[in-house]
Amino acid sequence: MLNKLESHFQEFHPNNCFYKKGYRKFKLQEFEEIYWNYHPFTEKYFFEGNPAYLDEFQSLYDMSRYPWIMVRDGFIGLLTFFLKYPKPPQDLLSNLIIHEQFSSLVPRYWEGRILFYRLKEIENSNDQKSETLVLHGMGIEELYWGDSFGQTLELLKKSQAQNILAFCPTRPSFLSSPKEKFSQFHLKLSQSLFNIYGDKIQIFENMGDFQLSLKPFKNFRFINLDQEKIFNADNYMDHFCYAQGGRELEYNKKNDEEQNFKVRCSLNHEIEFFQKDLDSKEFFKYFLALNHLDQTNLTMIDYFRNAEVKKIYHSQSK
Amino acid sequence: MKIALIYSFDDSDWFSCNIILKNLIKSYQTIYDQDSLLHINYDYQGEVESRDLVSLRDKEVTKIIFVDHKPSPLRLIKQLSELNDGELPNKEYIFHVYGDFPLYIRDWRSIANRTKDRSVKFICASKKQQKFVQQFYQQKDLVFYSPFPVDKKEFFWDSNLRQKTRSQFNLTDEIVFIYTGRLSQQKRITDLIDNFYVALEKKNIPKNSKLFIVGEFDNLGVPYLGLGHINNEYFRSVDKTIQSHVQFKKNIILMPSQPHEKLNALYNMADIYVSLSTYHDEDFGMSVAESLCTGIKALLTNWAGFSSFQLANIGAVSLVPVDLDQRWPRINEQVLQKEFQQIISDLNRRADYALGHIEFFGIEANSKRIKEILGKEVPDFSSCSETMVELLAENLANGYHMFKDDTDLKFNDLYNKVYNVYAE
Repeated sequence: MLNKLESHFQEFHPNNCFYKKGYRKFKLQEFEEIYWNYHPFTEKYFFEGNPAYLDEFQSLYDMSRYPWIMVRDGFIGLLTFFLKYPKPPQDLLSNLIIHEQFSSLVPRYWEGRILFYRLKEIENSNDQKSETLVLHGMGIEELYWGDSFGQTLELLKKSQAQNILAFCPTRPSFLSSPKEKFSQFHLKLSQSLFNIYGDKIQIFENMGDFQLSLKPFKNFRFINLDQEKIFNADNYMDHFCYAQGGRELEYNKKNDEEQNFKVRCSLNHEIEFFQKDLDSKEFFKYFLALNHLDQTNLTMIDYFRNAEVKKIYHSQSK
Repeated sequence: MKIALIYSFDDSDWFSCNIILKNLIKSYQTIYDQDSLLHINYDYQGEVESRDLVSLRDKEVTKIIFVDHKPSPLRLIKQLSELNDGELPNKEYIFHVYGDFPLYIRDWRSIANRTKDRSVKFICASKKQQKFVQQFYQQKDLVFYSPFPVDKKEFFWDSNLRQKTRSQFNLTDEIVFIYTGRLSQQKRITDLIDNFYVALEKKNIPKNSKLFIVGEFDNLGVPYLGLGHINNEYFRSVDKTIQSHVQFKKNIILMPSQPHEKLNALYNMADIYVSLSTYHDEDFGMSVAESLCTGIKALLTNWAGFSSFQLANIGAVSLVPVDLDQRWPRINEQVLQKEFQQIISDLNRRADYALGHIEFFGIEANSKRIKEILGKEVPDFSSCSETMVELLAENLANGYHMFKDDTDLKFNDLYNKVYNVYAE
């Protein structure tokens, strides 16, 4: 499968990139609202692997125009999709590439149609210590189901950086139930950051202002606050930070496996594609617990607000 | 007598424009003493403090000089007229023209209307840009040429620095080509890589030659044709081109943009600056000028401002012809390969080349040229030309796509007519 993907990259014409197709009407208005609520974390970018969120396509037929789709969805989008399609539907001709964090969510029946991806840093001579730390993410409760927020704060406390730039726009919590929409989580995030860094931190709401302030720093560390990737697995801001010369604050170096296929995305990072046996452990738990629901018509918001899903998620993370 | 310098006190998002502005101000500071210069902050929102506006109207201020690339001078000209009962104060107005001139054609047309019967001078950074801008005005003699200045304290030849930087990159006898600047489709980075590979394959240059590509990627694409890129698109295009040659891909070193000190070291390390740019508004080429002041040779297209870098008395710059026959700038690749062969000779005259170029492009030389221009008597400004009207009509109809063919993804006849001076 990796060979096929490699040939796809070699023969790829830029006009066949899904995100080059200009304005597309979203299938569901609620997904469009979520997409823009998360923007620019969901910002489109060019890549031969055709990165896209599953709900950006009108139908399976529409998806099938693209032999490969690098699925940008995180946990909730993938769960919704695979509960609806535990087996690859006949109408779908595309192969899917899924973020490595969710490999256990893929049903076994998809064997032979799935590859995995991860972002990988490229080692180079610019890999020096940095005084500047960049944080990006949103202070909305829906992104922090587990205890990742507390863990991230612990990590931030250890950082010795002198300049801290945080891109943390205030947004409503779209996926959560209406009563949580206007939660105070953003304030909690800001308060935690000020407690750690005091006046050393600058918090930006606007991408343009953040970009301008970041410009003088060519060597910085960054951290994505959205570690659980509930909605968004392929976060544009990670690509952006790498492309601006950043490197991850806590990068878990992966062994270099020769057989994997890697493609540079900037001077500092690449996307690595690899094959993996499907264990489907997580998928079956959700599938069995939720099969009393009519899974064909449920959307990601329904699953997001389902107590059973949260319960299983918590039991998994323990 | 006071001279007002109008510019934004904030940095621009165009890196080279910040440098140009800084060096132009130094040129004016060389000509005039500190007390004669009035620095006015004309911010990027087009705002000027009211007390500054009032001081510009003062009789003591004889010349108002727009040194920055944005905002366009129109708003300030308008505010000054309004302050002066609808009539623009009778002073000399000097405009340093940047590459984005055609993009702001509506503003320049309004400025022309408002500066009628006033003393006006336009200063262009290259001879071809001078010819380009002259097309839009009836009085050609109001359009002058003075290249943007280079600061010799920042860019200079230093043989020790060369050795030190070469050893940092483990270079011994390799010939090093270098491109620095924006990495953008119309800068033709992929064509540069392809042609560099051909030169290596055909042995027009030694097989251990290196090409350093230094800069920041942008998404501009070809804006006149509405062909914008999305994020990461040009990076992928360049990377794919680099990876396309298994044997020579290691001869290409891609680096992010660098601060001036490091750029100077890289130029000292390198032997030949190379650019195949046919960017629509390549009015000058600040990085080319800076590199030449380190004694490097240069292989460039003869497009637009680049042709002004070829100084007959120095002979360090080779130009490759560009033609617009197919309504798209096309480089003569056969000539390019010959130039690759020839330019690698005579690389040891760095000190002479550096001196020659700094004498021409340095701040001192620039201030002399500007002083001469400012001292020239010119007739009052009358009006713009028919070409300006034609371009304006197209702009009103099609906005930024004024140079796009109606049916084809190519430039139209108007582009050929207006931009032909850049290819001559």
